[in-house]
Amino acid sequence: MLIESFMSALIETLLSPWGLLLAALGALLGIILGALPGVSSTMALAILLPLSFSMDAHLAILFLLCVFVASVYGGSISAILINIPGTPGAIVTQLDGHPMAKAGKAREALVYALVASTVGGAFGLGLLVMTAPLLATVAMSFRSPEFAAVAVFGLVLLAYASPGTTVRGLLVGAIGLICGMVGFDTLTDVPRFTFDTRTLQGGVELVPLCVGLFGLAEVLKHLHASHQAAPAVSIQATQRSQLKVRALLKRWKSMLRGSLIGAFVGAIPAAGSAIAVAIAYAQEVRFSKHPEQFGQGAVEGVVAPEAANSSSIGGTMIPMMTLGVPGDAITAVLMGSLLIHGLRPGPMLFAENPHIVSSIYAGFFIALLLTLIIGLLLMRWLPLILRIPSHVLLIGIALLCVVGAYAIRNSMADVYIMLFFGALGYLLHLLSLPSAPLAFGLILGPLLEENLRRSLILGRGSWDIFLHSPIAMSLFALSIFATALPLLAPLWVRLKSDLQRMKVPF
Amino acid sequence: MTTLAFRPVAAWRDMACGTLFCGFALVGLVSVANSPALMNSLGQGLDPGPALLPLVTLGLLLTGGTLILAKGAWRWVQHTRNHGPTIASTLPAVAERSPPAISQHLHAAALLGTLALLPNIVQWLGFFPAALSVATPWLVWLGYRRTRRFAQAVLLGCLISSLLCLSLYLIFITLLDVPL
Repeated sequence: MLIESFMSALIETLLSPWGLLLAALGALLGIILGALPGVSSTMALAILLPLSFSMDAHLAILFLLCVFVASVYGGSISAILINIPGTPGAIVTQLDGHPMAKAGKAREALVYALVASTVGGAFGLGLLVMTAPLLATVAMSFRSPEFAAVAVFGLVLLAYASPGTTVRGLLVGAIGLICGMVGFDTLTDVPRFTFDTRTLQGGVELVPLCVGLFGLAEVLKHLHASHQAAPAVSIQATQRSQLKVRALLKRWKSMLRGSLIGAFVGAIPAAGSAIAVAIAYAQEVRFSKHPEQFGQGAVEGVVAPEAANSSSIGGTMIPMMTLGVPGDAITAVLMGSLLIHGLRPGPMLFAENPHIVSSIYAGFFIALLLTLIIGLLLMRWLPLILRIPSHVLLIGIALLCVVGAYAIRNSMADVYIMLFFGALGYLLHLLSLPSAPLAFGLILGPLLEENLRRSLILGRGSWDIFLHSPIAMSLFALSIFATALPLLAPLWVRLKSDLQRMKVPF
Repeated sequence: MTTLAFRPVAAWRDMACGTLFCGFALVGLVSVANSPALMNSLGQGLDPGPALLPLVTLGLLLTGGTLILAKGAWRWVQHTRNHGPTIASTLPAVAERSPPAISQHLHAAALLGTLALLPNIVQWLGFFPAALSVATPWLVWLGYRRTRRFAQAVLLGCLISSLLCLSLYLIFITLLDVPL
């Protein structure tokens, strides 16, 4: 049944010239934007999101998945060629990728990264296809108390994994929760936080927030340094290659290890690709017979992190699709696209819109294939892409943010909301506060409030209803533990060292 | 005496973070308190009402913000009491990232300002001329900063901004029917 619907969605897309064209365009834009330093996968997705509004839901998902998957590979291009990671997930790839490029093996490094990325992505897709329906079935049995607990746990975990301290991440998430409450209350129609202005009566949509926070704020961050040119790469760098298929196949163990780590780490909400690639690299060094070669241009140092980076995509989509909890900032933006098309990710998506689920699987598969094909075709032109002046890109993105925000509901209110979140994102960056929890708060806020209130109504006003749910209680306990851990860990370390000092005689 | 006591930048950052959180919380609390419909919904019937979660969240935000503000103030007091850095301050000072100078934020502030004006200019001139009037000066200025060649910056700025705005016009207005 699952394979049947997957195949039919795949064939339907492959036979649609418009769909294939959009997918190819998405993959091309994803590779180019991902390759440009300063444009992360999240930013690429956020600024291209408005282009998908007028598309059919299937095509929109296909286009955005192509951008997502391709930008993840794109991040490794600048990491290898100019030693600047295009995306956070490519931060480890530069350690060995750039030494390979300096040794005249730039094309080899890029092909290794591309193939590992495709294999890893396919592994992540496999995990998504196998586990998501099972998890969704389990989540179907969840009632309001469990969903309220899932929202709290998701928010805590997402704040925990964000850069900076958990408490500050949680407080930023709380601002996101408040932003999610702006507008009319869905149950009682009472206006909240509207300050008697029409602009805020429609509420804060996820898309202008994401475009402002992950698009415009990034432009503002990089604008001052836009006069600094990136290191130039010779056009000859990616022309020659001696790489053979046999050499690629020899690295299957590294690809498999990286894929496994990436998929499972990615499936943990908030863990994200940066953690996955770091673990994959560390494991590769551990398993290597020549650990001293790492950092000098070891092929395994490119293959394993790239496989982990791509396989984490499938992993991050598991909590998003089954529980409605975004795995990271990129899936938060992807959720925005689904919400715009009236599709709420979560267990009900599998029951009410199984064809959309199949479309997501098929779109993911096509995105991997197209990234491989376009990546190989584009290889010789990659040094030219890196020569695009950053100031042109930044001004182009800024204009795109404004037009894109307006295009959501054809409303100037969304433009001002986007500008507000752009400024807020910049302020959060200056204060070293994570901005992603703001988006998580906006997504999880309505889920939390709706289920909290419904739980209390079901429990006839008593909070005991949460005590009767072991799942909810476990999730609340884990949330408290995750919040307290950063506060208690230094005390525990101090206590341990004190105890050790007491044992050592003076 | 802890090393934490000698981090003026961290102290300022804590105070700014605390102020931001407290500011948001206070604005939100004022908004809830000034809404009789929201305040009256509390404790009415089985539904806890639309004011419960906002009040709980704002309360937590205010508490967290106050604690961070107090931490920053305490660090600042410790720093001023010790009259600047001492031997203990040398280690953390290396790891600490100092905030960028005010001049570094001028570009960001100016771009935000121009983008905020853009919707009004669009209503007055229409999309293409308005976008062009915003993009061209920016591209010329940033191009000049990059190359220090004025004529080249003007020429390229005009050309690139025309291409950029034309692309946006074709994609959003012609292709996607966005009524701009």
